[in-house]
Amino acid sequence: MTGFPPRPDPGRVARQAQALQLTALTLPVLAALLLRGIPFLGVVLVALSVALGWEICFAVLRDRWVTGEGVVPALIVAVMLPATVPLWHLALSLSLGLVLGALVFGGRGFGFLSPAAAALALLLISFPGSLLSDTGGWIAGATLPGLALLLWTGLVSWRVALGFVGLCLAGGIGVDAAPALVFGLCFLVGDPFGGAVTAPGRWLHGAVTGGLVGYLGAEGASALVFAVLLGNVAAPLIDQAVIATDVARRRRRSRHG
Amino acid sequence: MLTMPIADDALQPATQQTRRVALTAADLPELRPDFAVYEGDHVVAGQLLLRDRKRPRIRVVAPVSGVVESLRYGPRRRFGLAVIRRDADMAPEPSAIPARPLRETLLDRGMWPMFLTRPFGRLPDPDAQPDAILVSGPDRALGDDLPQDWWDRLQNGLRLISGLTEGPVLLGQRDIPQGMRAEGRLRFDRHHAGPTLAHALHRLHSVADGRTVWTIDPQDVVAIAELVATGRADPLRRIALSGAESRVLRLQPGADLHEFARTHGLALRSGKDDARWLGLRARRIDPAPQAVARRGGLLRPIVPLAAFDAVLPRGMRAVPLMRALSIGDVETAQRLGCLDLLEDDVAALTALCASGADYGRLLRRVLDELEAS
Repeated sequence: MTGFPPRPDPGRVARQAQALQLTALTLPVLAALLLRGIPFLGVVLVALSVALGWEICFAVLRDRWVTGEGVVPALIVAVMLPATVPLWHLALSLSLGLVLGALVFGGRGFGFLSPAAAALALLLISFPGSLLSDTGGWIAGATLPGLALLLWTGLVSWRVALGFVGLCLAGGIGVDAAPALVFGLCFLVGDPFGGAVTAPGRWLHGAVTGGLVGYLGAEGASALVFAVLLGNVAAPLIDQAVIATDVARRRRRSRHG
Repeated sequence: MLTMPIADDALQPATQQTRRVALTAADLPELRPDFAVYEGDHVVAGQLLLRDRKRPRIRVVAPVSGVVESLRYGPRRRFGLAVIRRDADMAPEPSAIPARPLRETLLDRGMWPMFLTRPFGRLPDPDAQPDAILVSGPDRALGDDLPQDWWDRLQNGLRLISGLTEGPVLLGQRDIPQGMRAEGRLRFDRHHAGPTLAHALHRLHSVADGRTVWTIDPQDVVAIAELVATGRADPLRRIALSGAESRVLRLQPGADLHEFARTHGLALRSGKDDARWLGLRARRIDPAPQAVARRGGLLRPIVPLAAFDAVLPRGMRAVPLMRALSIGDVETAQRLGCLDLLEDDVAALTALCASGADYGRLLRRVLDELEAS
């Protein structure tokens, strides 16, 4: 495509979306591994098994192929949960998140929720007192190259990112709280499948999510998770409002044209 | 716009007459033919080939003189293909145009198919009047070396066709020279023409909420002016060839592109039949993108990239439309403005989208349903 900076062909990006997301995840996952050690490996293994298990289940039930699309949400959840999380908490919430957030719709991309956000939110609700891991510091730093890659290819919308950052700042999220949100911005807020799909809608969706982070009070990841989920739910409505404005403008133009 | 697989090799002189010329189903959409000739007949350029069975005033004439090599029906007894093998050049005498309404002249001379309706992309009814006429074509097809009086002839042509409608005649072309006069109901729009006609249409006179517009290429309007003035119109058109060596060719609509590529030493990537003949209204030849290997039977989601919006006219949202088309949601597609579009306008989405959906075909189904209702 044209424009500056030069962008890759959207056709290729669309076909390789999953590979690109996995690429962006490698550094943060490695950072988490280095920081948390073997327990993290256990979390990752459980998450991946759960994801693949459900995918195989649905593949058999629905006569579909196994695409490994659950790997990305599984890894996101693994990074955002502390290595000490009870594994059955992880398995249960990830199962619900993947099944209800993606698989019942036909897979990732056919639903309107971010499966990772859904899984994390379900865990926080079901097991009060659960904490999410700190994704600041090294993990945030490791996310930045991936974020740049996803922004450059368009998988993370720059409009969503800017809207989110803008409203976070307006809501008083300080610079010291920012690193904790970088991973969430890249992989939860920026999930292409959970967000708005119109250009003005993307601004609004990012802004709503950012505003909710400020409003929900608790600093760090848990406010972000619920904000993302609410943003996902609001996104289709935001898109409908944008389309309604388009239609009204078009009809006004035809009446005067 | 014709998408055609041509390797990006150096290209040759501007004009090339191919031995065979054809009319295809895409040129005469939804037309049930009443053939006036048989296979093997010898025809003269301008001689009647067929009529529209439902609207017999619509005549289709032979583009060149020669032998009718093939006449075929398509599915459901619609017009399929008519191939003429060019003969020793027997151009007919230019005959004076009797003074009569332009409509009659165009119908009689077989030039009615130059117009296409929006929405739905059909040949207009001979008695119908559109709400507006849009004259637009790819900028690059005109090239840099237009003869001096081309724009004068275009001005005359625009004046002539404005008699076909009571509404505006919209010229959507970049680089309209200052000498052109926007007289009467003529309106100019100097924007870049956009990748497809839908961009100009949506911007200037959208039909998404009703009304009908006829579209025509500016070179065809010039041909109409020439015909009325001199009795004879140039059969060739300027075609933009894009790719590594982009340049402007002069070809006959219906030309045999396989033969053209062969004589110029180009390699073809695929031998698909419908890519063989230059369309009647096509003014661009693009090298086809690499064929995307689609895993058969695997339904993949639409990855909602912002870049898709650039394919559609400004103000039309690509991903909601793609979703609506994918599930056959006619109401939503109409609301999103699908009536402004034809298959060519969404062809780029098919190439870019990873889901494997053929948006041209999906759009046609939606349009057919809207047309029937």
